Amino acid sequence: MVGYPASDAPQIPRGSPAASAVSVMHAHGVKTVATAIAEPDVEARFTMLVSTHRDRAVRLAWRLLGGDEAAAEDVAQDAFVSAYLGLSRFRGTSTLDTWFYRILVRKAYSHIRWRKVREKFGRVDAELASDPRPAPQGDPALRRRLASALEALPRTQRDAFLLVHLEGFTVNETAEIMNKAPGTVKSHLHRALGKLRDQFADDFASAENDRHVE
Amino acid sequence: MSSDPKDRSTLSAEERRFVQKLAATYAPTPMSASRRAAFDAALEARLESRQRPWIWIPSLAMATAAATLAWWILPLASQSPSDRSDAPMVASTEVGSKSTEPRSDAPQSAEPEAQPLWEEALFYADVDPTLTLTNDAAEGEARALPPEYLAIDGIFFEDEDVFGG
Repeated sequence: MVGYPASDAPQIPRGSPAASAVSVMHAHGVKTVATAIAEPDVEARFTMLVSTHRDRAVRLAWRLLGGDEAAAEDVAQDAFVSAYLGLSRFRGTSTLDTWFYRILVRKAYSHIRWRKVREKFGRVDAELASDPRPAPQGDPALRRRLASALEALPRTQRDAFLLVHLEGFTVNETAEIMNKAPGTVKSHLHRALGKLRDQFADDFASAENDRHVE
Repeated sequence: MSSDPKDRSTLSAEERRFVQKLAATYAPTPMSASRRAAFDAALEARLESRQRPWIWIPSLAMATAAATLAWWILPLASQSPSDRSDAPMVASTEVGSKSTEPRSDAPQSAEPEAQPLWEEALFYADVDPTLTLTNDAAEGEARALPPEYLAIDGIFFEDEDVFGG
Protein backbone atom coordinates (compact mmCIF):
# COMPACT_ATOMS: atom_id res chain seq x y z
CA MET A 1 0.00 0.00 0.00
CA VAL A 2 1.35 3.33 -0.92
CA GLY A 3 1.74 6.09 1.63
CA TYR A 4 -0.68 8.85 0.66
CA PRO A 5 0.38 12.44 1.20
CA ALA A 6 -0.70 13.85 4.52
CA SER A 7 -2.94 16.88 4.20
CA ASP A 8 -2.20 19.33 6.96
CA ALA A 9 -0.42 17.42 9.66
CA PRO A 10 3.37 17.51 10.26
CA GLN A 11 4.91 16.36 6.98
CA ILE A 12 7.80 13.98 6.52
CA PRO A 13 9.75 15.01 3.40
CA ARG A 14 9.36 12.51 0.58
CA GLY A 15 12.51 10.59 -0.29
CA SER A 16 13.97 11.16 3.17
CA PRO A 17 15.09 8.21 5.33
CA ALA A 18 12.16 8.93 7.64
CA ALA A 19 9.70 8.64 4.76
CA SER A 20 11.26 5.33 3.68
CA ALA A 21 10.95 4.06 7.21
CA VAL A 22 7.30 5.07 7.31
CA SER A 23 6.69 3.29 3.98
CA VAL A 24 8.31 0.11 5.28
CA MET A 25 6.29 0.30 8.48
CA HIS A 26 3.12 0.84 6.42
CA ALA A 27 3.94 -2.20 4.35
CA HIS A 28 4.31 -4.33 7.48
CA GLY A 29 1.29 -2.83 9.18
CA VAL A 30 3.40 -1.39 11.97
CA LYS A 31 2.04 1.68 13.70
CA THR A 32 4.61 3.85 15.42
CA VAL A 33 4.58 7.34 16.89
CA ALA A 34 6.11 8.62 13.62
CA THR A 35 3.38 7.13 11.46
CA ALA A 36 0.69 8.24 13.88
CA ILE A 37 1.96 11.82 13.55
CA ALA A 38 2.31 11.63 9.77
CA GLU A 39 -1.05 9.97 9.32
CA PRO A 40 -3.93 11.89 10.84
CA ASP A 41 -7.49 10.64 10.93
CA VAL A 42 -8.30 11.68 7.35
CA GLU A 43 -5.21 9.92 6.10
CA ALA A 44 -6.05 6.67 7.83
CA ARG A 45 -9.63 6.71 6.64
CA PHE A 46 -8.57 7.36 3.07
CA THR A 47 -5.99 4.59 3.10
CA MET A 48 -8.63 2.22 4.41
CA LEU A 49 -11.15 3.41 1.82
CA VAL A 50 -8.74 2.76 -1.07
CA SER A 51 -7.58 -0.63 0.11
CA THR A 52 -11.15 -1.79 0.80
CA HIS A 53 -12.93 -0.41 -2.24
CA ARG A 54 -10.32 -0.26 -5.00
CA ASP A 55 -11.41 -3.43 -6.83
CA ARG A 56 -15.11 -2.83 -6.41
CA ALA A 57 -14.81 0.80 -7.53
CA VAL A 58 -12.98 -0.20 -10.72
CA ARG A 59 -15.49 -3.00 -11.40
CA LEU A 60 -18.52 -0.72 -10.91
CA ALA A 61 -16.94 1.97 -13.10
CA TRP A 62 -16.23 -0.69 -15.75
CA ARG A 63 -19.89 -1.73 -15.73
CA LEU A 64 -21.18 1.82 -15.76
CA LEU A 65 -18.87 2.71 -18.67
CA GLY A 66 -19.87 -0.27 -20.79
CA GLY A 67 -16.66 -2.27 -20.45
CA ASP A 68 -13.99 0.39 -20.98
CA GLU A 69 -11.24 -0.80 -18.65
CA ALA A 70 -8.80 2.11 -19.02
CA ALA A 71 -11.60 4.62 -18.50
CA ALA A 72 -12.85 2.63 -15.50
CA GLU A 73 -9.49 2.92 -13.74
CA ASP A 74 -9.27 6.58 -14.65
CA VAL A 75 -12.74 7.29 -13.26
CA ALA A 76 -12.08 5.28 -10.10
CA GLN A 77 -8.86 7.22 -9.46
CA ASP A 78 -10.64 10.48 -10.11
CA ALA A 79 -13.31 9.50 -7.60
CA PHE A 80 -10.68 8.59 -4.99
CA VAL A 81 -8.94 11.94 -5.50
CA SER A 82 -12.25 13.79 -5.05
CA ALA A 83 -12.99 11.72 -1.97
CA TYR A 84 -9.57 12.54 -0.52
CA LEU A 85 -10.04 16.25 -1.10
CA GLY A 86 -13.53 16.19 0.37
CA LEU A 87 -12.91 13.78 3.23
CA SER A 88 -12.29 16.53 5.77
CA ARG A 89 -15.70 18.01 4.90
CA PHE A 90 -17.50 14.65 5.09
CA ARG A 91 -20.25 15.21 7.67
CA GLY A 92 -21.18 11.60 8.23
CA THR A 93 -24.86 11.94 7.27
CA SER A 94 -24.39 8.80 5.15
CA THR A 95 -21.80 6.06 5.47
CA LEU A 96 -18.37 6.69 4.00
CA ASP A 97 -18.92 3.88 1.49
CA THR A 98 -22.18 5.18 0.05
CA TRP A 99 -20.74 8.71 0.01
CA PHE A 100 -17.76 7.48 -2.01
CA TYR A 101 -19.87 5.46 -4.47
CA ARG A 102 -22.11 8.47 -5.03
CA ILE A 103 -18.98 10.36 -6.10
CA LEU A 104 -17.93 7.47 -8.32
CA VAL A 105 -21.30 7.21 -10.10
CA ARG A 106 -21.28 10.96 -10.71
CA LYS A 107 -17.74 10.79 -12.10
CA ALA A 108 -18.69 7.90 -14.38
CA TYR A 109 -21.59 9.84 -15.88
CA SER A 110 -19.43 12.91 -16.26
CA HIS A 111 -16.96 10.75 -18.20
CA ILE A 112 -19.77 9.34 -20.37
CA ARG A 113 -20.96 12.85 -21.18
CA TRP A 114 -17.46 13.89 -22.27
CA ARG A 115 -17.08 10.73 -24.32
CA LYS A 116 -20.32 11.51 -26.13
CA VAL A 117 -19.09 15.03 -26.84
CA ARG A 118 -15.82 13.64 -28.22
CA GLU A 119 -17.69 11.14 -30.38
CA LYS A 120 -20.02 13.88 -31.62
CA PHE A 121 -17.11 15.95 -32.80
CA GLY A 122 -15.50 13.02 -34.58
CA ARG A 123 -12.78 12.15 -32.11
CA VAL A 124 -12.44 8.37 -32.06
CA ASP A 125 -11.83 7.01 -28.59
CA ALA A 126 -8.36 5.55 -29.11
CA GLU A 127 -8.08 4.43 -25.48
CA LEU A 128 -10.66 1.71 -25.98
CA ALA A 129 -9.18 0.54 -29.27
CA SER A 130 -5.58 0.31 -28.01
CA ASP A 131 -6.15 -0.99 -24.49
CA PRO A 132 -3.29 -3.42 -23.76
CA ARG A 133 -5.12 -5.11 -20.86
CA PRO A 134 -6.35 -8.68 -21.41
CA ALA A 135 -10.00 -8.95 -22.47
CA PRO A 136 -12.39 -10.42 -19.88
CA GLN A 137 -13.35 -14.07 -20.06
CA GLY A 138 -16.56 -15.12 -21.77
CA ASP A 139 -18.43 -14.31 -24.94
CA PRO A 140 -17.38 -10.84 -26.15
CA ALA A 141 -20.41 -10.53 -28.45
CA LEU A 142 -22.82 -11.27 -25.61
CA ARG A 143 -20.94 -8.82 -23.40
CA ARG A 144 -21.29 -6.10 -26.02
CA ARG A 145 -25.01 -6.82 -26.35
CA LEU A 146 -25.38 -6.63 -22.58
CA ALA A 147 -23.55 -3.32 -22.53
CA SER A 148 -25.85 -1.97 -25.24
CA ALA A 149 -28.96 -3.22 -23.45
CA LEU A 150 -27.85 -1.64 -20.16
CA GLU A 151 -27.04 1.60 -21.96
CA ALA A 152 -30.51 1.60 -23.48
CA LEU A 153 -32.12 1.45 -20.03
CA PRO A 154 -33.09 4.71 -18.30
CA ARG A 155 -30.27 5.86 -16.06
CA THR A 156 -32.11 5.26 -12.79
CA GLN A 157 -33.03 1.70 -13.81
CA ARG A 158 -29.49 0.97 -14.94
CA ASP A 159 -27.93 2.34 -11.75
CA ALA A 160 -30.35 0.46 -9.54
CA PHE A 161 -29.78 -2.81 -11.40
CA LEU A 162 -25.99 -2.50 -11.44
CA LEU A 163 -25.69 -1.44 -7.81
CA VAL A 164 -28.09 -3.98 -6.31
CA HIS A 165 -27.96 -7.03 -8.54
CA LEU A 166 -24.42 -6.88 -9.91
CA GLU A 167 -22.49 -5.12 -7.13
CA GLY A 168 -24.43 -6.45 -4.16
CA PHE A 169 -25.42 -3.17 -2.50
CA THR A 170 -28.60 -3.27 -0.46
CA VAL A 171 -31.68 -1.38 -1.56
CA ASN A 172 -31.17 1.17 1.23
CA GLU A 173 -27.51 1.71 0.32
CA THR A 174 -28.46 2.07 -3.34
CA ALA A 175 -31.18 4.55 -2.36
CA GLU A 176 -28.51 6.59 -0.54
CA ILE A 177 -26.11 6.44 -3.46
CA MET A 178 -28.82 7.40 -5.96
CA ASN A 179 -30.43 9.90 -3.60
CA LYS A 180 -33.84 8.23 -4.09
CA ALA A 181 -36.38 6.59 -1.82
CA PRO A 182 -35.94 2.81 -1.28
CA GLY A 183 -39.38 2.19 -2.79
CA THR A 184 -38.37 4.01 -5.97
CA VAL A 185 -35.21 1.92 -6.19
CA LYS A 186 -37.24 -1.30 -5.89
CA SER A 187 -39.55 -0.13 -8.65
CA HIS A 188 -36.61 0.64 -10.93
CA LEU A 189 -35.07 -2.73 -10.14
CA HIS A 190 -38.24 -4.57 -11.07
CA ARG A 191 -38.57 -2.77 -14.41
CA ALA A 192 -34.88 -3.16 -15.32
CA LEU A 193 -34.89 -6.86 -14.52
CA GLY A 194 -38.05 -7.41 -16.59
CA LYS A 195 -36.54 -5.68 -19.65
CA LEU A 196 -33.24 -7.55 -19.42
CA ARG A 197 -34.92 -10.92 -18.96
CA ASP A 198 -37.01 -10.28 -22.06
CA GLN A 199 -33.85 -9.70 -24.08
CA PHE A 200 -31.43 -12.24 -22.60
CA ALA A 201 -33.47 -15.10 -21.11
CA ASP A 202 -32.90 -17.19 -24.23
CA ASP A 203 -29.13 -16.53 -24.27
CA PHE A 204 -28.66 -17.65 -20.69
CA ALA A 205 -31.09 -20.56 -21.06
CA SER A 206 -29.15 -21.83 -24.13
CA ALA A 207 -25.88 -21.46 -22.22
CA GLU A 208 -27.37 -23.57 -19.41
CA ASN A 209 -28.57 -26.20 -21.93
CA ASP A 210 -25.09 -26.33 -23.54
CA ARG A 211 -23.51 -26.94 -20.15
CA HIS A 212 -25.99 -29.79 -19.47
CA VAL A 213 -25.19 -31.38 -22.85
CA GLU A 214 -21.43 -31.24 -22.13
CA MET B 1 -22.74 -2.56 4.42
CA SER B 2 -26.08 -3.59 5.76
CA SER B 3 -26.58 -7.26 6.50
CA ASP B 4 -30.31 -7.02 7.10
CA PRO B 5 -32.00 -9.60 4.82
CA LYS B 6 -35.16 -7.45 4.67
CA ASP B 7 -33.06 -4.75 3.06
CA ARG B 8 -32.12 -7.04 0.16
CA SER B 9 -34.08 -7.19 -3.04
CA THR B 10 -36.22 -10.31 -3.15
CA LEU B 11 -35.72 -12.45 -6.24
CA SER B 12 -37.17 -15.77 -7.28
CA ALA B 13 -34.78 -18.67 -7.81
CA GLU B 14 -35.03 -18.29 -11.57
CA GLU B 15 -34.41 -14.54 -11.39
CA ARG B 16 -31.44 -15.12 -9.10
CA ARG B 17 -29.89 -17.54 -11.58
CA PHE B 18 -30.43 -15.08 -14.40
CA VAL B 19 -28.80 -12.27 -12.43
CA GLN B 20 -25.86 -14.46 -11.44
CA LYS B 21 -25.18 -15.42 -15.06
CA LEU B 22 -25.52 -11.85 -16.18
CA ALA B 23 -23.11 -10.68 -13.46
CA ALA B 24 -20.58 -13.34 -14.44
CA THR B 25 -20.79 -12.44 -18.13
CA TYR B 26 -20.69 -8.68 -17.65
CA ALA B 27 -17.61 -8.36 -15.45
CA PRO B 28 -14.05 -7.14 -16.02
CA THR B 29 -10.92 -9.20 -15.54
CA PRO B 30 -10.15 -9.30 -11.80
CA MET B 31 -7.34 -6.95 -10.78
CA SER B 32 -3.95 -8.59 -10.42
CA ALA B 33 -1.40 -7.53 -7.78
CA SER B 34 0.64 -5.65 -10.38
CA ARG B 35 -2.43 -3.79 -11.62
CA ARG B 36 -3.30 -2.84 -8.05
CA ALA B 37 0.22 -1.53 -7.53
CA ALA B 38 0.03 0.44 -10.78
CA PHE B 39 -3.36 1.79 -9.75
CA ASP B 40 -1.99 2.90 -6.37
CA ALA B 41 1.05 4.54 -7.97
CA ALA B 42 -1.12 6.43 -10.45
CA LEU B 43 -3.47 7.50 -7.66
CA GLU B 44 -0.57 8.71 -5.53
CA ALA B 45 0.81 10.69 -8.49
CA ARG B 46 -2.58 12.32 -8.98
CA LEU B 47 -2.84 13.23 -5.33
CA GLU B 48 0.67 14.68 -5.37
CA SER B 49 -0.08 16.83 -8.39
CA ARG B 50 -3.36 18.05 -6.87
CA GLN B 51 -1.71 18.84 -3.55
CA ARG B 52 1.18 20.84 -4.97
CA PRO B 53 -0.15 23.47 -7.33
CA TRP B 54 2.78 25.71 -6.30
CA ILE B 55 5.20 23.65 -8.41
CA TRP B 56 3.74 25.47 -11.42
CA ILE B 57 4.54 28.91 -9.97
CA PRO B 58 8.22 29.09 -11.15
CA SER B 59 7.25 27.93 -14.63
CA LEU B 60 4.41 30.45 -14.80
CA ALA B 61 6.69 33.25 -13.57
CA MET B 62 9.33 32.40 -16.19
CA ALA B 63 6.74 32.23 -18.95
CA THR B 64 5.33 35.63 -17.92
CA ALA B 65 8.80 37.18 -17.84
CA ALA B 66 9.63 35.74 -21.28
CA ALA B 67 6.35 37.02 -22.72
CA THR B 68 6.96 40.51 -21.30
CA LEU B 69 10.50 40.56 -22.67
CA ALA B 70 9.28 39.45 -26.08
CA TRP B 71 6.60 42.14 -25.99
CA TRP B 72 9.31 44.78 -25.50
CA ILE B 73 11.96 43.38 -27.82
CA LEU B 74 10.00 42.24 -30.88
CA PRO B 75 8.60 45.65 -31.95
CA LEU B 76 12.12 47.17 -31.65
CA ALA B 77 13.66 44.36 -33.70
CA SER B 78 11.08 44.80 -36.45
CA GLN B 79 11.90 48.56 -36.79
CA SER B 80 14.60 49.74 -39.27
CA PRO B 81 17.70 51.33 -37.65
CA SER B 82 16.59 54.84 -38.80
CA ASP B 83 13.23 54.34 -37.01
CA ARG B 84 14.74 53.55 -33.64
CA SER B 85 14.11 56.09 -30.96
CA ASP B 86 17.71 56.86 -30.02
CA ALA B 87 19.93 59.91 -30.56
CA PRO B 88 20.80 59.57 -34.30
CA MET B 89 17.11 59.33 -35.10
CA VAL B 90 16.44 62.68 -33.41
CA ALA B 91 19.35 64.33 -35.33
CA SER B 92 18.18 63.02 -38.70
CA THR B 93 14.62 64.10 -37.95
CA GLU B 94 15.85 67.62 -37.25
CA VAL B 95 17.82 67.69 -40.49
CA GLY B 96 14.84 66.36 -42.37
CA SER B 97 12.58 69.00 -40.90
CA LYS B 98 14.96 71.78 -41.94
CA SER B 99 15.40 70.50 -45.49
CA THR B 100 12.69 71.27 -48.01
CA GLU B 101 14.01 68.74 -50.53
CA PRO B 102 12.87 65.10 -50.50
CA ARG B 103 15.20 62.77 -48.65
CA SER B 104 17.49 60.55 -50.65
CA ASP B 105 18.92 57.17 -49.66
CA ALA B 106 22.44 58.56 -49.60
CA PRO B 107 23.79 59.38 -46.14
CA GLN B 108 23.23 62.98 -45.33
CA SER B 109 25.61 65.29 -43.57
CA ALA B 110 24.49 67.21 -40.56
CA GLU B 111 24.84 70.63 -42.34
CA PRO B 112 23.13 71.28 -45.69
CA GLU B 113 25.68 72.42 -48.28
CA ALA B 114 25.15 75.42 -50.52
CA GLN B 115 25.18 74.48 -54.21
CA PRO B 116 28.48 75.91 -55.70
CA LEU B 117 28.02 78.35 -58.52
CA TRP B 118 30.33 76.54 -60.94
CA GLU B 119 28.40 73.30 -60.55
CA GLU B 120 25.18 75.08 -61.29
CA ALA B 121 26.71 76.63 -64.39
CA LEU B 122 28.06 73.30 -65.61
CA PHE B 123 24.84 71.38 -65.16
CA TYR B 124 22.33 73.96 -66.27
CA ALA B 125 24.30 75.88 -68.98
CA ASP B 126 22.49 74.25 -71.86
CA VAL B 127 19.12 74.75 -70.18
CA ASP B 128 19.39 78.31 -68.95
CA PRO B 129 21.08 80.68 -71.43
CA THR B 130 21.58 83.34 -68.78
CA LEU B 131 24.03 81.02 -67.08
CA THR B 132 26.53 80.91 -69.98
CA LEU B 133 30.03 81.61 -68.85
CA THR B 134 31.01 85.20 -69.22
CA ASN B 135 34.26 86.64 -68.07
CA ASP B 136 32.66 87.92 -64.90
CA ALA B 137 30.98 84.69 -64.37
CA ALA B 138 34.20 82.90 -65.14
CA GLU B 139 36.00 85.02 -62.59
CA GLY B 140 33.35 84.40 -60.06
CA GLU B 141 33.46 80.75 -61.01
CA ALA B 142 37.20 80.74 -60.65
CA ARG B 143 36.86 82.07 -57.15
CA ALA B 144 34.45 79.35 -56.34
CA LEU B 145 36.68 76.56 -57.67
CA PRO B 146 38.78 74.59 -55.24
CA PRO B 147 42.57 75.24 -55.43
CA GLU B 148 43.37 71.99 -57.32
CA TYR B 149 40.85 72.79 -60.02
CA LEU B 150 42.14 76.32 -60.23
CA ALA B 151 45.63 75.00 -60.95
CA ILE B 152 44.36 72.73 -63.74
CA ASP B 153 42.15 75.52 -64.99
CA GLY B 154 45.17 77.81 -65.27
CA ILE B 155 47.12 75.29 -67.33
CA PHE B 156 44.29 74.77 -69.80
CA PHE B 157 43.59 78.47 -70.24
CA GLU B 158 47.27 79.12 -70.79
CA ASP B 159 47.21 76.45 -73.50
CA GLU B 160 44.16 78.01 -75.03
CA ASP B 161 45.88 81.35 -75.06
CA VAL B 162 48.91 79.78 -76.67
CA PHE B 163 46.98 77.96 -79.35
CA GLY B 164 44.34 80.71 -79.77
CA GLY B 165 46.89 83.51 -79.85
